[in-house]
Amino acid sequence: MKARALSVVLIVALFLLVTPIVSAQDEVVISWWTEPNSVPTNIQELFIDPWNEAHPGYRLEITEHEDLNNVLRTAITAGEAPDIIQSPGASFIAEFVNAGLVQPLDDYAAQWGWEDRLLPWAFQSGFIGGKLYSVPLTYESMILMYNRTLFEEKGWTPPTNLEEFEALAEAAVAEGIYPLIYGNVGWQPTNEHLVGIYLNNVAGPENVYKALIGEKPWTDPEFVEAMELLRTHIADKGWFSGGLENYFAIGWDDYWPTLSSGEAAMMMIGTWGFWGVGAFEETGTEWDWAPLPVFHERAGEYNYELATGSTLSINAASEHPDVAAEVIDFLLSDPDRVLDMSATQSFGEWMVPVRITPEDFPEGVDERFVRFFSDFAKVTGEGRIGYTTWTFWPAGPNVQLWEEIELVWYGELSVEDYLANHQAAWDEARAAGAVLNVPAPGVAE
Amino acid sequence: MFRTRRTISTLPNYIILTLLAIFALVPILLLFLNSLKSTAEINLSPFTLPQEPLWDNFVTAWREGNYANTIKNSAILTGFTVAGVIVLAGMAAYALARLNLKGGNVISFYFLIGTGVPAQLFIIPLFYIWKQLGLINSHFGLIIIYIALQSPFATYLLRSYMVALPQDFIDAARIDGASNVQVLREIILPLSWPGFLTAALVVGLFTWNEFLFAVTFLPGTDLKPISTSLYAFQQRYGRDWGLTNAGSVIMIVPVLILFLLLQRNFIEGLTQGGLKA
Amino acid sequence: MAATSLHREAHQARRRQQISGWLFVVPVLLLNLIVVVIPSIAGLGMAFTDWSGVGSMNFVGLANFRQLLQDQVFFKALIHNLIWTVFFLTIPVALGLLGAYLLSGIKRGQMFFRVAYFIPYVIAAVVNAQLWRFLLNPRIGIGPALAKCCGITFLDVAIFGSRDLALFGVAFVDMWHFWGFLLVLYLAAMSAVDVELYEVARLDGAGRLQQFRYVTLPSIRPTLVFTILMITIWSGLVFDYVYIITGGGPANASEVMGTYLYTSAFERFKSGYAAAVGVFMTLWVAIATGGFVLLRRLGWEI
Repeated sequence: MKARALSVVLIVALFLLVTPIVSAQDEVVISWWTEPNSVPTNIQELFIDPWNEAHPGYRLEITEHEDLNNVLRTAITAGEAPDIIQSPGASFIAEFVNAGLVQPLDDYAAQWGWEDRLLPWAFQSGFIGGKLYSVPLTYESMILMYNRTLFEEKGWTPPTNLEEFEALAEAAVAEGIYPLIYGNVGWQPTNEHLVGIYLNNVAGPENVYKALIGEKPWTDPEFVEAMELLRTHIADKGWFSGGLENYFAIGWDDYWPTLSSGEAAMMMIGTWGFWGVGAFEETGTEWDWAPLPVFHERAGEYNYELATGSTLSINAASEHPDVAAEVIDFLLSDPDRVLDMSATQSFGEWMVPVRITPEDFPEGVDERFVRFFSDFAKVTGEGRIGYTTWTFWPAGPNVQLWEEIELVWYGELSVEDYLANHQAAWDEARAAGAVLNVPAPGVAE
Repeated sequence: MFRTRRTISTLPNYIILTLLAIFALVPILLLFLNSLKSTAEINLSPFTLPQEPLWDNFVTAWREGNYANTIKNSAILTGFTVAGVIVLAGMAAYALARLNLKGGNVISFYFLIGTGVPAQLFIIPLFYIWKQLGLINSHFGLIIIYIALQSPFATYLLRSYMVALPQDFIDAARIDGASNVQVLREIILPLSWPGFLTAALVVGLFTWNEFLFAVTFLPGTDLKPISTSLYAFQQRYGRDWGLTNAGSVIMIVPVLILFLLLQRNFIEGLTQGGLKA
Repeated sequence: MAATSLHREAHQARRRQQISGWLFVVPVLLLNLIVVVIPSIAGLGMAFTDWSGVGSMNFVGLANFRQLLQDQVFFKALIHNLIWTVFFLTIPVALGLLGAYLLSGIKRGQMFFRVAYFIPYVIAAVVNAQLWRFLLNPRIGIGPALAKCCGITFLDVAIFGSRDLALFGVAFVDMWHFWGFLLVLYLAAMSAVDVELYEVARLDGAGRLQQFRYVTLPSIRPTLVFTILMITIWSGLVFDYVYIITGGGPANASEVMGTYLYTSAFERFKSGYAAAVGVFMTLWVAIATGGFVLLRRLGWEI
């Protein structure tokens, strides 16, 4: 008897569980899935509440999702995805575009003047096949962060060219200090940061641009030179974290204690690195940043690599695409709000590429952050731009680039073969129409 | 005299066993110690007692990991999955072990390799089916999946257990005219409950720790289980060792307590029945 | 007449029993069919397409398999699965047997040791992996600490970052979590061994090692064979520890079929190709099980 009673209870309970929780209100929900640990802490009062008030009958629901990319891919294929599709970069969107899973945004952009609100390159980066499919949620660039306290102590200055860089690295090694700290534990694509930096700063943005638009093969000597130099620095010299083995065993958790304690001198990282500078307070040291050193004359004066972080698109299956577009428009409409929200993430997340001036930053913001964004606007405005692999490379060549570089570093694959494979991956992507929009360097705004 | 000789001869046993125990326990001890340190302290002195226990780590981890909610969800998922598996696998195991089913051996083997298909192979088609059935984003839908995934192995385990039971009792009951259900309830269950405990433990552990199916089938924020809480600390920009360790401790403590409470029965259960193929 | 009717009744009873017996098995089978079998068949179907994971798919016949057989990374992964199997069939089994044998020889404290050894098994893979990434960290882990304090340097290497050690490092972490489970299973089996057998062996002058060899091992053979089969199956499917700790790196040094399937589908966006890897993994399990069945058919008592 007991067993039967138990099974009855069980079945009833299971049915209770399956009963969907029906919302009492008749509000239409506009859904948006986002990455955990990245959402501004003041998003509710600065963004969600005001939007809801301005749109009676609708409710904006922003939820955090672990493993967002994979969950979203599964969901979108089954037609279960949210109204607003957040992807880790424009190259991810290309696939959705080809499958007809996201909507063009050109009409909304024209209606609300998005082109005038966004930084030109950032606006352009959302175009695929002549139509706008995404707008960036955040933008970033690669910089050189360093331990200022250590630099002052040793009388060092941030290197600006290859000669200074190599001299400084040798000096650090002589003192028993890692010249650079970096590693790819927990995020294998970290490799691409370094590949991108060396491509831009050795081969030069002009050459990278030509290769991106298909006018120059990746097997050309400039690129070979770039990858050889990276291999020398990381594998032969062991300047990144003291050697390849450490590089492959070190991750984000290790960067900050090492850099702030002076065990390492510098770090080549994206501006999302601003997120980690709290560690310097704990050790009582100071940090600072500088533009990345330029490794070859042909790369010209220093530049900033252009990068969008996450991008936003609208689900083709959304029942309320116009309202979802209003959410995006709301995001782009107020630079002050963007900065107030992004400030809670050290300007490493939700830094929407709207047009800002240094005066727009909220009171009391660290001068070093403001200095970066001001200089970025000035320098990129002059057309001194570089290209990050996750913004301007299609998915196929992008993955090949960060996966096979490990074989190059270990000497299992020659630089020539690596670049030949890279060219082949590009040919394939180009044939499939997966190529992204690339702004030309040297063109002033 | 005899006693002394015995003690001497078991001394090497104790030495080796103690070394093995250190091997098993010290890492976990370090996890607990380091959950009470700041990241800076862990970096400076990773293998010492905390200078001043930083209980705040737990408060912060609890809040940021939304553990109040995820623990509740995991308890629901685990409880119902275990109950479901025990009922269904228990029935199947009984039939396979004691009812001489034609083709029973084939089924047993099928159950053994039922775990042999990698999840990544069928998760996307399964998502489609679940969408059609309206089972996405419901605990019930995920529980069904968990039961289906775990029942085969549990059945195999329980079957091995029941095969070893003495036939005499069952024959006696049969002569008294007992039905299948009665035999199962009145003879098999009482005799093999330690085996059920073992199966419950294995299934419970799986469910409590599962991540892949949970994030895929429960996109809704309020429904997520505890494994996603920990994941939030280990994202690309993971915060710090101290917080992650505290989050880890929160995740394992309920399981540890439950295990320590049940371990006597569980291990004795294994010892009595033996796991025979 | 009476005999015939009795016979018929018995026959009917057997039939009833068969039917009700099958009713007991059907729920599990049905659930498994819906959740695993049908989607898996659909998944296997993907192996013959060029599907990227979203959008349309084209039938490409055996192209994925042809490519797979020439894929050096896949070949590496397969070898790693084999190494993994050998590792798990030796070290944890030996540790489990040793611990169980020693444990069965003592009374006082037996319960404590059993619990201690089993505890790592109850802890989630994410937690264990995180813990060992810390313990074997090249900067603040055990290695550098031992080197600093006692001059022991052999551990002072970045194990998970080394091409030669990464696979074994991950296998070690998985083993640390797993061997206690084996021990408890073996101990359970050893406790069931007839004590008199040991007495007889002792009278024949058998030492400890010989008792273990000639009494313990044969007596626990069913359990031993069962664990060997399970280890072989699981070693073909291993995924979580490798994925969490090294992701298969560096430079594929710890790549296994499971991680290669995952990265093919979710990083390289080749779901069809990934499905073909999945077919090989399923094949691995089928071969292991088939071998087991064959040995049994051949009269091995396992």
